[in-house]
Formats: sequence, C-alpha cells, structure tokens
Amino acid sequence: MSSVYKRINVLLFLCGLTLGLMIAWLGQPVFQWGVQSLFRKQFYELTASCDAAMRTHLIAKNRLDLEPSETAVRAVRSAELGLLACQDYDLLRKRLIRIGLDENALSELTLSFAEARASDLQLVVETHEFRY
Amino acid sequence: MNFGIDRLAAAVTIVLLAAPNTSATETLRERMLRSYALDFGLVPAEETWRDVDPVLAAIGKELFESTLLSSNVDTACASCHLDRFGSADGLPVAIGVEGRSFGAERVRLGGDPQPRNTLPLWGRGGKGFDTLFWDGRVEKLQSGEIQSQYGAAAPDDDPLTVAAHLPPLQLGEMVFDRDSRFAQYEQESTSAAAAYADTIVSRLRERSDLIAQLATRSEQAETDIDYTDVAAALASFIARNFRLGTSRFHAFVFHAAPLTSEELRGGVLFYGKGQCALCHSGPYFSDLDFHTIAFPQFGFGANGFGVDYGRYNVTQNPDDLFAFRTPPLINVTRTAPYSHSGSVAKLRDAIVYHFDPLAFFSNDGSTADDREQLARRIGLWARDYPVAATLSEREIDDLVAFLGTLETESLEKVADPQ
Ligand code: HEC
Ligand code: HEC
Repeated sequence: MSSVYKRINVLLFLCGLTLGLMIAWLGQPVFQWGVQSLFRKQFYELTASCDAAMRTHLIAKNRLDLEPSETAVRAVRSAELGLLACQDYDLLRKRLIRIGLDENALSELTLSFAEARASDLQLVVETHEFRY
Repeated sequence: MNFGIDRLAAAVTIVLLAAPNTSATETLRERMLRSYALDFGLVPAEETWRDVDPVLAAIGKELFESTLLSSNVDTACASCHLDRFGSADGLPVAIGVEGRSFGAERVRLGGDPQPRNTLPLWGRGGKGFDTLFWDGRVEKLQSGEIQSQYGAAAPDDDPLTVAAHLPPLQLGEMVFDRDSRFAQYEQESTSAAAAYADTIVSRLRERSDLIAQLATRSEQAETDIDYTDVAAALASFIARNFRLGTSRFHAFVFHAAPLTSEELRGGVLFYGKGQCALCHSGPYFSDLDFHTIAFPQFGFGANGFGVDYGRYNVTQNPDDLFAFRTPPLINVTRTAPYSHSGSVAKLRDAIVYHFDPLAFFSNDGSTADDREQLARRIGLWARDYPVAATLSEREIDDLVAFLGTLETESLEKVADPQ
C-alpha cells in the first residue's frame, strides 16, 4: 500500500472524527432546540391556561369567603375542575423531560413565555416584582 | 433490512412524541365529568317529563301545523318552529304574518320581522321549565302564581299553556297589524285579545273538526271550548313532542356510554375552565335566570332601533337592563343563528362572545349610541364573569364537539305549513 494512500486514510479518519465531534457537540443543542420549537405553541397555551385557571380559582374563593352562596360554591367547584389545565401543564413538562429536554431548556421555555408578553417595561416589572 | 428498522424506530419515536395524554387521565376526566354533570343538575331525560295526555297532544299537533290560528290564515306555529331548524326558524329574527316559505327564502319574500330570534321548543313544558321567552315574560313563581302580561287573570296555571296562549295574540307574530279588521288588537289589551281569541276559536269550529275533537276529549260542550283549551292542547303537544330524549351526553353520564376525547375535553371545559355551567346548568342547560352577554344587537330591537332592554321590559327594574334568560343548549348545534336577536351566525362565535366581546367589534358605521350601549353591556357582563376564561381555538372546537352531544330527536315530525 502506498504512503499517499495511507495518508489519505488518516486524513479521512480525522475528518470523520471531527465531523462526529461536531455532530455530538452541536447535535445536543439542535435536539433541544427542535423539541422546544415542536412544543413551544402547546407549552405556551398550557402555561397561559393554567395561569388563568389559578387566578379564576383564587377570585372564586375570595368571593365565596366574602359572600357565601350556592352560586359562589358552584363557581369554586367549577374553578377547581378548571385547574385540570394545570395537570395538563404538568403532564406536558413530564413528557418533555421524558423525551430528553433538559431542565435548562425547560426553564428557558417558561422564561421565553413570560418575556414574549413583556413588550414594555411595565410588564417586565410586573413579571419580576415580588408580591406579598 | 437496516432501512426497515430505521423506519420503524422513526415511526415509534414520532408516535411517542405525538402521543396524547395517558389513558389514566382520560378516566379521571370521565369520572370528573360525570360527577360534575350530576352536581350541576343533570337528571335522566325521563325525569323531566310531565304526564301528558297523548290524545290531547295529537290534537295539539294539528293545531300547531294549522294556519287557521293566524289572523289572515297564512301563518302556523310550524311556520317559525320548524323541524329542519331544530324547532326554530333559521333566521336572525322571526318573520311573522305575511311571511311565506321558510329560512332565507322567508326573508326574501317579505313579511313582518319580529324583534327577537325564534326560540326552539326542546324541554319546554318539562318539569321545572317554568320561565318562558327571552325576557321571561311568562313565569311560574315559587308561590305557584303565574306572572305574565295577563296579570292576575292568567288563563291557566301552566306556564307553557299561558305562553302558547300568547303567540297568536302578539302583534305581527300571528296577528296582521295592518289589517283594519284587526286594528283593535294592536292595543294588545286583554279584552281585545279575548275577542281575537274568540274569532280564532269560531274559525277553527267552522273550518276544521279540531274544536269538536277537543270537546269530545274534555267531555265538554263544543260551545264551552275556548282559546285556553286550544292553548292547552298546543302546550301538551310541545311538552310531549319536544321532551328531552336521551342525548349522547345523557347516555355518557347515566349509561356509561363513551364520548370521543374531543367531546370529553369539551365537557370538562364546559363545567370547568369555561365556567359555562355557572349559567347553563340543570337538566336543560339553563339556570332559567337572567344574565348579560355582550352579543351584538341585530335589527330594530324590542325597545326601538338597535335597542333591546330584555328582562327590564318585564320588571321595569333598571338592574335588569340588557339581561336575557340563559338559553337552554339542547340541540343548540341545530338552531343557528344565535343570541336574542340572532346576530351571531356561528356556534363558535357565540362561544367567543362570552369571553371576548370585542373580538369582532368594528367601529365602521357604529354610532356613539351603539358604543355607549355596548360598553354598558360589557360592564354588566364583566360582573358575571370576574375572570373570563380565554379559550384557544382548539378549546372552542372541543366545546362545539361537546355541545353536539346534546342533540336529541323529537317524537314526531312536524309538517311544514303550506
Ligand atoms: C312569527 C314566528 C313565530 C310564530 C308563528 C310562532 N312563534 Fe313561537 N316564538 C317565536 C319567537 C320569535 C319566540 C321568542 C320570542 C321572545 O322570547 O321574545 C318564540 C317563542 C315561543 C315559545 C317560548 C319558548 C321558550 O323557550 O320560552 C313558545 C312556547 C312558543 N314560541 C310557542 C309557539 C306556538 C304554540 C305558536 C303557535 C300558536 C308559535 N310559537 C308561533 C316565533 C314564532
Ligand atoms: C354568566 C352566565 C353565562 C355563562 C357563564 C355562559 N353563558 Fe352562554 N349564554 C348566556 C346568556 C344570558 C345567553 C343569551 C344572551 C343573549 O342572547 O343576549 C347565552 C347564550 C349562549 C349561546 C347561544 C344560544 C342561543 O340559542 O342563542 C351559546 C351557544 C352559549 N351561550 C354557550 C355557552 C358556553 C359554551 C359557555 C362557556 C364557555 C357559556 N355559554 C357560558 C349566559 C351564560
């Protein structure tokens, strides 16, 4: 076998190695990004849905405390069933983790949802303000 | 070979990625939906039925289909309450006397438009269905007393009979108001109405054998039969023919029949996040109480052009301005268009107005008056809906699918009037 041939073989091997490393190195973020994009819409929808359900539940309970009535009880019951939206949200998170989305990517999704709505400073403040 | 395995692996991955929630939550949902439906007042269909004399109902059917009940013999109850439109008329607002044909054709041919969308008749006459019309102008009070425009002199103690007493006596609906012969009834005074009712009964006696049949059935003399007997027969027919059947949702709740997953999600939204069952509750999917939803107002309205004060017209209580009886939702998928003035063509849109009243708002051609009213109605709506549940397109699809499970059939077909 000629040395030229050998050299090409080594070169090919190095190229393959580099390519493999690059794929391994890039592949992971690409995979994370792919899963994020695939589920972004659904994730945003369920986040908003669960958020609204929690607010509805809180306000229904306020009303029941202030003026107890049959209607107020029903509103709370209804709001409780509404919280199933949060179960859907939890299930989606679990599913994303199972598929292989890591915690960072998951947090990033949540943050990007909050920021997507914060188009002015006031909203940014509201999102990050401590409430007590 | 390798290629085949690759494909298989890809397929499995795709299925895993796209797989819906696990079946465990499906059964949780099924269980919750059944228990919520019961909590919010659903009962087996038969439990809403009242005892009705089938012979009287059969006579009532002929009366319902007869144009002899209208002043110029061109309109029957069945002209507006049509089978093919789920016992309503498929029009935004009803077209009364001088109307011909049905559906859109009826508008094209002209006739007297009414201020309100025709109500379907499902469940009317059933147990507890004691508040009638969009504004509840016929109502059986807790005391058992009937409240209606007849005051203390209600012709009967059954609200549906009193309601069935009204249509021929409502101007334009079945009385031709430009006909001088009947001009006196324009005042809608009780005595003029009584005179008109007598005219109808005499005509029925002369031109049909229905009065004779009523007399035989009630073992009275023919001369003793009056319009109240006619109304009672109409009411019997409505109560029997349009009584609730076992809808797919009833079958799901009471006989463990399945729903599709879309319908199931819709049902959970209906009782849960959508808060629909706070008003659309009970066996008829209505609390038979009064609320404001900021639907657009179509047509000239009961209180002048573009204004309908709804419940206020009955109570004269300013708190009741713009409130309407929650419509029952049995067969709602068949009774487009929607709202008290029929201003909403699609079921989806009717749902959207509940949480996003400005979704379709256009300032084009609206006057300051229109906007002032809209703002006022939105304010009233906001009190009923402290936090409106904003629903996604898919959630609306789910709700529409769920509403489709509330379809039931009538006992008999009603003939289209000639
Ligand atoms: C011109 C069309 C028209 C004709 C004819 C007509 N209706 Fe109606 N019907 C309506 C409209 C419109 C409403 C709703 C009116 C309202 O609530 O203000 C209605 C409502 C009703 C209701 C109340 C339903 C509910 O949900 O409360 C009953 C009962 C009824 N009609 C029975 C009859 C009977 C019986 C006849 C024949 C004697 C008849 N209708 C003839 C248009 C018509
Ligand atoms: C606050 C009480 C209330 C709640 C909550 C409510 N509705 Fe309604 N709904 C009404 C009233 C009142 C009307 C009729 C208003 C009018 O015509 O002016 C109506 C009308 C409708 C109509 C049109 C029916 C027809 O025959 O014209 C549909 C469909 C409907 N609602 C479905 C829903 C759904 C689905 C939900 C839950 C997302 C819901 N509603 C929540 C009170 C309510």
